[in-house]
Amino acid sequence: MSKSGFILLLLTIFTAVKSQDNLWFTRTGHIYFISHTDIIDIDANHYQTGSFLNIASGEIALTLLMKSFQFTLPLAEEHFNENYVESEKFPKATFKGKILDFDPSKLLNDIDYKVVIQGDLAIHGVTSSVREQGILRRSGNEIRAVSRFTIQLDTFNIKVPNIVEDRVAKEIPIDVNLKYEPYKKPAGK
Amino acid sequence: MRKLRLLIVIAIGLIVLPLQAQNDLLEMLDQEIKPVRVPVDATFKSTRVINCHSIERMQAGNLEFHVSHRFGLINSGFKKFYGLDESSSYVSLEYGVTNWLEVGLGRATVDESFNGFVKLSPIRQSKGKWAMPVSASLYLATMTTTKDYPDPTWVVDAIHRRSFVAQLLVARKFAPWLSLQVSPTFVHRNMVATSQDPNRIFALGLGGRVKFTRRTALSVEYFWLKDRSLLTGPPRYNPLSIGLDIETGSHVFQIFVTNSFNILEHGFIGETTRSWRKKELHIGFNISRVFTVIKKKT
Repeated sequence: MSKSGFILLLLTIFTAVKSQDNLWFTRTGHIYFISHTDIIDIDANHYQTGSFLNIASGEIALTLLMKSFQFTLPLAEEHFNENYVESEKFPKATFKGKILDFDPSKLLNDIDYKVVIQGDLAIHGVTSSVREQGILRRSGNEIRAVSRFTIQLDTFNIKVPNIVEDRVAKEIPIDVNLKYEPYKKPAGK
Repeated sequence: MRKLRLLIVIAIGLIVLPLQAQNDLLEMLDQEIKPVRVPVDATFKSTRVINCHSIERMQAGNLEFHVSHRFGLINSGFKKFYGLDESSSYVSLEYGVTNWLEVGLGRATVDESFNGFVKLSPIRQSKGKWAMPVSASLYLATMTTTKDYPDPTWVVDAIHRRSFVAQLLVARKFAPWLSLQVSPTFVHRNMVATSQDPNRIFALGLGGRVKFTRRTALSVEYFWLKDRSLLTGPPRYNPLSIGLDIETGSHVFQIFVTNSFNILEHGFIGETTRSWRKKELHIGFNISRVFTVIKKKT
């Protein structure tokens, strides 16, 4: 192999690896939601949310398995999967979007960076365009992303039967709490 | 020549590597997220198919209050209000100690019986990592009758008043709308009518449900009895039940038509003396109300 060729190859690989550096990743993201009514509170946690954040472009992607929501009420978990979000038919919820006017230079250590995220949220086979606020905060080798927003069950065609209408809220607040770490491309891929 | 080949390699590298890096983030996530075990829930709506227990159990910390009724014969006419004047009933409390162990205590009017049971549910159908094709539970029960025997001079020891049931329940949810269960069953009765009657009866149960809306399902259950002809007294029949399951939040309501007046296993298996062919049918219902006693920590 000629010397110049070798250097060129190294450079190519380096740029590719370099662009990987912009990617931050988590597979243990936390999501919490609650359906609050006067009669009953139904809440659930999800600790296995996967997400990528590209700190060059501001792109965000997020995916989770509906079945992995853990409810405090086991029966609610069954109803959630079986009757409301139909997890067997629609196993995943996803989000794909971008931070608007993203400025990587504002992502400073231990300073909150308030952002607006816009993108497509897909739940129960329905994709809806959303625009919500969030906060990014870098602490050394970790970027924390938090957001609180509310979804309407109607938007995602999740139907609540009349008989339990006063037990399930129509608006569901959702807390997202992600702790990203620099993405390392797995070996052999 | 060698240089040319190298150039081609570099060219390909230049094109491919950055492209890879710009892959769709959602697609990349799919590759990154490791498959997990996903349990298949709600094979049946209730802990009963109809008469028979289903593979479903109370999860840890949940308590079921279960009420069952079987009314009299529908063909008894208006005078007896199509059987609704008469009824046999069963009430029980059933508690999930862990996700794989349920215990229950109940009382049935027929033969003034108490029953106690454990239901072990070690195998749950699941997809993904460690996929499992079926759910299986082992149901073990004992019943004691507190009734008086026809001749008051009889002294019947407690041990002779007892019956036992062992059932292996194996079910698969083939699709969200279709679940089927096979239930091989042994019933052992410590005391039987005559010395010709077998103490032990083997029966094979088949059951299933077809969900036709999100909260209603059609359910069917049949038990085939081996050695049915060996039982003395009135002819015995195989119990067949057909019904509707309606789920409303934390209640499950099952209403059905059956040829069995008995609710407990040692009754509907071996003591069913009514027949579908002779149109000797009962209306029955099960109501299950679930209370969460101990909330799960998440």
